[in-house]
Amino acid sequence: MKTSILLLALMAGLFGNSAQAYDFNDFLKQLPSQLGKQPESAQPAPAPTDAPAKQPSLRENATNILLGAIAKPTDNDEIQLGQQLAGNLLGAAPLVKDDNLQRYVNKVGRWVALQSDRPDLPWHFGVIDSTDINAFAAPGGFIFVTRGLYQQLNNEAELAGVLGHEISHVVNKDQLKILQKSKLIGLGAQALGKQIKGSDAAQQLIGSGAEIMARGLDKDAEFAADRMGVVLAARAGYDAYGLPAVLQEIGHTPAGDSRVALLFKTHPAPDVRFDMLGDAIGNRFDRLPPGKDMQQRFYRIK
Amino acid sequence: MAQMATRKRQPGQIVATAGVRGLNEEDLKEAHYSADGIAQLDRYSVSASAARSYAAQGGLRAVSVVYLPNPEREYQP
Repeated sequence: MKTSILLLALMAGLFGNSAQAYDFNDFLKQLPSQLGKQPESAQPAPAPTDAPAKQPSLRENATNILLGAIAKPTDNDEIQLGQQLAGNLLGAAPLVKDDNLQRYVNKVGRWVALQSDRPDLPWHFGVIDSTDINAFAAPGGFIFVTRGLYQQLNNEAELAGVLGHEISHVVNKDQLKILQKSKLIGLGAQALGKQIKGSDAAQQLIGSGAEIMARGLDKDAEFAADRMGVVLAARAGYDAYGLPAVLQEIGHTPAGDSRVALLFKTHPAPDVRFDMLGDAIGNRFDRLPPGKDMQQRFYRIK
Repeated sequence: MAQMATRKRQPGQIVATAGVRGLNEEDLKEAHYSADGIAQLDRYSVSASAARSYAAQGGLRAVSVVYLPNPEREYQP
């Protein structure tokens, strides 16, 4: 127990004034009192036999899910965690109020996701109301594109490429890896076992709101998602060069433009991504049948 | 690669929408869970068969394409 506390304190010191330290300050403050209630085993306490069966709430689940996710995540772990993060993101930026737009993006996105190695996840896609140029993925198949990015697109192939990139993050479990790599989360979860339940604990374990979506992934994870994204779009029958075209377009946006501030902070520069993707593609797509750009049926926001 | 460089495209059409704002790190950090948002999102989700049908309507056919290798070019930030 003392070892856990010492490790947690050490980790807090190591992170200094980083975002992680900010996220977990309150969490760390609670540790001594919570650890005092901690049983020796990290196994969940058995439910009283006379207690009625109670379906855990989503947020109670989220706590348990994170704990499970650290060890060996199941698809359900991922989906529940992703739903929590997606719900937080939607609290910051709601879906654009356009039923046809949202249905369209789901039909295109699901078709692209069907070409991936995880076709059976319950994929959800949405366009969120933000002028920012960005897109987000949460574990379990939750994908969002901002209105600002959507309005940059010229055809369905470009949309497929963007969604393919985000789908790849889910397929590769990139967000989950960020959580798993967080020693604070791991140590905190092990120390707390499953004794703390409820929304506060779940949120503290995840971090603040949807802030994890503002953290940059490993640069190689972004390049890998670009490579997989173009392949998924090509497999879906689209022009494989939709994503490179979007990268080229975004690359023309001035770095000082506030709409790309978060995107440029969390991703390699678009021109670097374009070049890396070009190197990977080489002449490998030269023998593919021509893909479609589906410009005519591309849904434009009114 | 040559195709990537020679693609012609129209410039993006950016439309500023009144009342809609950006999404920064602070917004994400302070975000609160929206149950209504998740319920809406769920309503828009489509089945695999519906997606296949929509793709077929547009003449899209699945193509076999292998994943691209990592070119292992060193990233220079």
